[in-house]
Amino acid sequence: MSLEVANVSASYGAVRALWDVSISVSQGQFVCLVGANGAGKSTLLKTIVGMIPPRSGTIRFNGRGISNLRTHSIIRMGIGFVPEGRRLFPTLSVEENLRMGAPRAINNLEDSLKKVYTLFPVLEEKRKQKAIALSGGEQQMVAIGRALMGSPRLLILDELSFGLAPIIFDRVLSTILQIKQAGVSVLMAEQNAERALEVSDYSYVMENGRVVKHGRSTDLIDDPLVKEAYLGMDE
Amino acid sequence: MSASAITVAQLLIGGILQGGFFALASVGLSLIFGVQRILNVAHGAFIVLASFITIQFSILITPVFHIDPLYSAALDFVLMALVGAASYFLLIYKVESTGFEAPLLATFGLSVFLEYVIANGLRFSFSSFHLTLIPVLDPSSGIGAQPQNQVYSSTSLLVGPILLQEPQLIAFIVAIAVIPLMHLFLTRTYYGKAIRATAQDWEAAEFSGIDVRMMRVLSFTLGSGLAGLAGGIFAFTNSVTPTTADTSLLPIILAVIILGGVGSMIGTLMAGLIVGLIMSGSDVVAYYVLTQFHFPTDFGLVLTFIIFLIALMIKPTGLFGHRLQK
Ligand SMILES: Nc1ncnc2c1ncn2[C@@H]1O[C@H](COP(=O)(O)OP(=O)(O)OP(=O)(O)O)[C@@H](O)[C@H]1O
Ligand SMILES: [Mg+2]
Repeated sequence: MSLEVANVSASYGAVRALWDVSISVSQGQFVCLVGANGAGKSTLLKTIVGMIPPRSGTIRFNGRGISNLRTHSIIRMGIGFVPEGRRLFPTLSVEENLRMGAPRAINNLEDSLKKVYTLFPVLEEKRKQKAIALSGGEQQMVAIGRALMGSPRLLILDELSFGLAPIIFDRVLSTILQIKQAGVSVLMAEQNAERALEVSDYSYVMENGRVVKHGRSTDLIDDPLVKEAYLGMDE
Repeated sequence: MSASAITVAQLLIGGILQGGFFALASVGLSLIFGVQRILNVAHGAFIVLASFITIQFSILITPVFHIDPLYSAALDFVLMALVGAASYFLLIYKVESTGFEAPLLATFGLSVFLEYVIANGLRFSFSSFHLTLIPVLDPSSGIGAQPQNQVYSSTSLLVGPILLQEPQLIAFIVAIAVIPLMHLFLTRTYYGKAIRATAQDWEAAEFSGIDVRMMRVLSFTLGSGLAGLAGGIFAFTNSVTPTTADTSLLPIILAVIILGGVGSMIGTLMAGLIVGLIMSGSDVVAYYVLTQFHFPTDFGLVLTFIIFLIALMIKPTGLFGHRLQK
């Protein structure tokens, strides 16, 4: 697994949202995008999976250029995507939501389902319930489970902490670390920079649509500028 | 029962049977609107085109091969599914991402085009536009009672004092059978669920690996095919003219899908039956009561829409909660 984003720019209509952004994720790595509200983290993730067409630059997944493919094709190459706000299908049941994450014809669908239920046993108990009836944490589990159904090699997560109590967020994060242990690479956008830097291997700091800093997460935690701007503490 | 009580019962039962057809005529549009947020105003024209195909079939094919023209409804399903798919790729696909207005105008253009084709392209084969496959019982009621078009010999059943026309009954049964099948398709199969997922959140569907464009093609094709099926059946129970789509079908279909809740198959079925019943009830009231106050006899349709508007004021989201859309 490898993801290479090189010099990508993107815009919403006439409004430029990404400026010459380059990032990369290598096999087994846990990479984070941190940055304030509106920094362009979600835009970058959506550009990677083809929901927003890049204006310039290249995006390669496993060495292959993917910037002219449609989103579902990119997903099916082995990417699991958990969108900001979870975006479950509200009137479908938990299990139906999960099944929507798997291509129709795969033969290990029941295996994938079993794996998701092993990871999140509560979902098996509630498999017949409508997704909309679950708690925020459970909904986040469904969204992650749905992204795992296609057995991805790269998991992309946007703002997992959205609407979750800190303790629930921590629990979700430890599950992500478990998934990473199984060999799945992770790319995660997160406003909660402190937790993001703690769990990840490498991070990119974004500001106004640009990457302004990047490095090993342990180094960034100690970086005075990062501390001041994102971790809410002074030197 | 008195004679007028029997007439009223006859009319109301006729209304329910007609309501089954209304539901069938509406269900395809409800599906398309629910998934794509595209109001295909050519849906009525699709139905009328299918009716003309069935009438052609009864004139050209039936006498030679002795095939009951009722079977041509299946042919209509296939042909209109193809017309729907072609319209989607040639027209709607190109404009659907631009918002609500362009697809609406595109299907409006398509509707005008199809009516023109029906009115002019098919002129050569008919001496009259007023065609129907049912024998006209009252010759004074229409200019179109052309004997050469009445190739379909219909039988009637007497249930107690009530007379049921066989074609109407068949239309009703087909409608009642197809809509629950559609419901099962949408709730039990992968493609059905993927269509619903697309309707609820198309971006999330793409993020999950669902080919949204394919789901849209599928629902548009299927919805158009259902218009074809409805059209084939329509020819057996109603008079058809090139403008039938706009003057009577489309307003009723819109009333049914709004009442039933967009995208809800079972809701559409119930709403179709209710609208059929209200229409025939309105006819009864208009005929027996309002004419005494010098209202025209065809005031029933106006009354139907007055009731519909009142229902919408009371419950603006339609009568049935369960929807394709959230
Ligand atoms: N659909 C859109 N149309 C126009 N502008 C948008 C759209 N979505 C985002 N933007 C703009 O693009 C910029 C980047 O937004 P983006 O959502 O990528 O930020 P983010 O880093 O994900 O923020 P957050 O932490 O709040 O999720 C912002 O200025 C935002 O206002
Ligand atoms: Mg965001």
